[in-house]
Amino acid sequence: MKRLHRLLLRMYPKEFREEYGREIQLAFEDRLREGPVLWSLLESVWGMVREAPLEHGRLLADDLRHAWRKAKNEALVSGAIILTLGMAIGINISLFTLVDGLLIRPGIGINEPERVVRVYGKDYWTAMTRSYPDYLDLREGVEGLEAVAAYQRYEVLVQGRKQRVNAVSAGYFQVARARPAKGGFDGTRLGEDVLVVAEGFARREWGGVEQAIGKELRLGRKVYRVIGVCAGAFRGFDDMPVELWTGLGELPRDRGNFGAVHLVARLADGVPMAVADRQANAANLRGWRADGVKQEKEVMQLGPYSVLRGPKAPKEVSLTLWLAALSLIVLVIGCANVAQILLARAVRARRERVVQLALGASFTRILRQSAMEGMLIAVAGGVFALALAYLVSPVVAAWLLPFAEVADFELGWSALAVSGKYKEQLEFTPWQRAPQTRVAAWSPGRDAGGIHDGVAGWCRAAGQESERSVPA
Amino acid sequence: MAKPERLDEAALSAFLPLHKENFHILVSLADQDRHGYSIMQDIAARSDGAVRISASTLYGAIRKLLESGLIEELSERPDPKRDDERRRYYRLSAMGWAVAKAEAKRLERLLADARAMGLLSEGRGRV
Repeated sequence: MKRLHRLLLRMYPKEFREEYGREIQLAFEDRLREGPVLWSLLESVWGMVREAPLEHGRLLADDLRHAWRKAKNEALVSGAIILTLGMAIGINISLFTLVDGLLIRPGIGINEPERVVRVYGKDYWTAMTRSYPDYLDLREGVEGLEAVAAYQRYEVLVQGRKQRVNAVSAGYFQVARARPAKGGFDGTRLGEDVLVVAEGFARREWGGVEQAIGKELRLGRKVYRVIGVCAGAFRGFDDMPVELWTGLGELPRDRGNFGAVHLVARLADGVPMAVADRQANAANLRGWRADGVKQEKEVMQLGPYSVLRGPKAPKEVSLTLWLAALSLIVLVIGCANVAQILLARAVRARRERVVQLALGASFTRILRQSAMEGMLIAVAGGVFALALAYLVSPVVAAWLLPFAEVADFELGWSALAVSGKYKEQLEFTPWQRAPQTRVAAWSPGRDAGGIHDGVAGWCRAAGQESERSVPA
Repeated sequence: MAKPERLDEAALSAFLPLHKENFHILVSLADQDRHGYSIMQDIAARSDGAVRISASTLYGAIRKLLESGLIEELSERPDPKRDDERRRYYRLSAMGWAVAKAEAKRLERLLADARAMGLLSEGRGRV
């Protein structure tokens, strides 16, 4: 029992043990002689369980105070370390934020993004876009694809500012499984120019989702009426976000026009991409034959919906990866510098350590104090690095990826620090995850249609109807 | 036992109210200098066994009291004949004495208030 108690005393920090351990043990042995053995042990153990963490905490606080005093006394050296560390980590955060946003995280606002694929061409010249008949082939003849959509992207002037717009086919929102925040489809207005806007856009332009419905917006020369608001953070399938969607309408059935549309699709549940790929190519070849054109070779391939992760990734991506590797080297050099400064400081503090040892401080205590000093400086360096990265990230993004908007690469964690005022702008950030939408199943519309059909099915699937909706 | 000195009221009130266990230790050291186990025994005896402090709790409290200067460790043994030389003895410092006294007065006032309000009478509150 005595040995067990002696062993349990190890719960205390060494300093406390050395000072009072023997006394505690003696008192425990005295109590054993007087009272019930088990009760005495339990009483003592309960006391240790309560007190030992407090003693550890007290020592930690002491070390922290000591580290703070020391950092203050050697402000110049501490400042140099914090600066070096902060810069090295800050640059790394900026570059990895970029890599993360481009390559690692799945798309925002897209439910189960791993099931969303893009149709690429095997030929270099037709890699990114397909013909309109290709879209029809896939939409009607591939079991392995739950939804298929075609879209075109363009830019127009909206209220004096260039805006990206997607003209989308039926099934577009079903591929992403995005849901409407508000709005619906009025079947009687099939011929009108209608528009779906992102929730953030609606809030910025008209102060809310409710107010957006029915509003008119001039895109270039045409005026469009807003019929729906896309909820959540969905901003299209491209790496450059889009907030405005118009209808694609019927396009000419020209098999040779490979530059007509971008194609995206959602894999059916449990269907691997390779299987869907084979089915898609088979359907495509059937389509060619039906149009009376001889085509033996498979011309399309399915891949990740993000072009930057796909087989035809642009050169900026590899540049970013190289820079990320370079930034790692910068980090290592930064750390080596810091280690050197710390070593110099440790050599200078040798006399102080000797005095501490002579006064009875244990080796572990001195080691812990040194670790605490290092940790304090590391935390300060980390905070500086985050601040630096917050400022530098958009600039680095603008420099390396001129095709993207600076706002697209703000730091993800900044969302924690900013007020609701900027929330909508931050919803643009590519690392925000898709909200889990409520759309359980979706059957793509049979008509060629355009955004009308897309939005109609979209609203049906979400089980919502607008106040303006009139069943077709 | 150290002779009590006049101490600043503000300095004393910074210690008040004392933690229950700390006050028990100070009271225990008020009549004589003691070692740890003796303090434990005294506390248990004075409270008829109602308050029992374990050795681990006691020495945590002793460390805090030593650091705040309310008790002192003795360098000489109070009774070398009956002494266990492995033991460490403690006594109240002047400050500890004053703080213990201030705490006792505070509790006394509290008790007087409770008595005046009838809390210590046999009945169950106001009728």
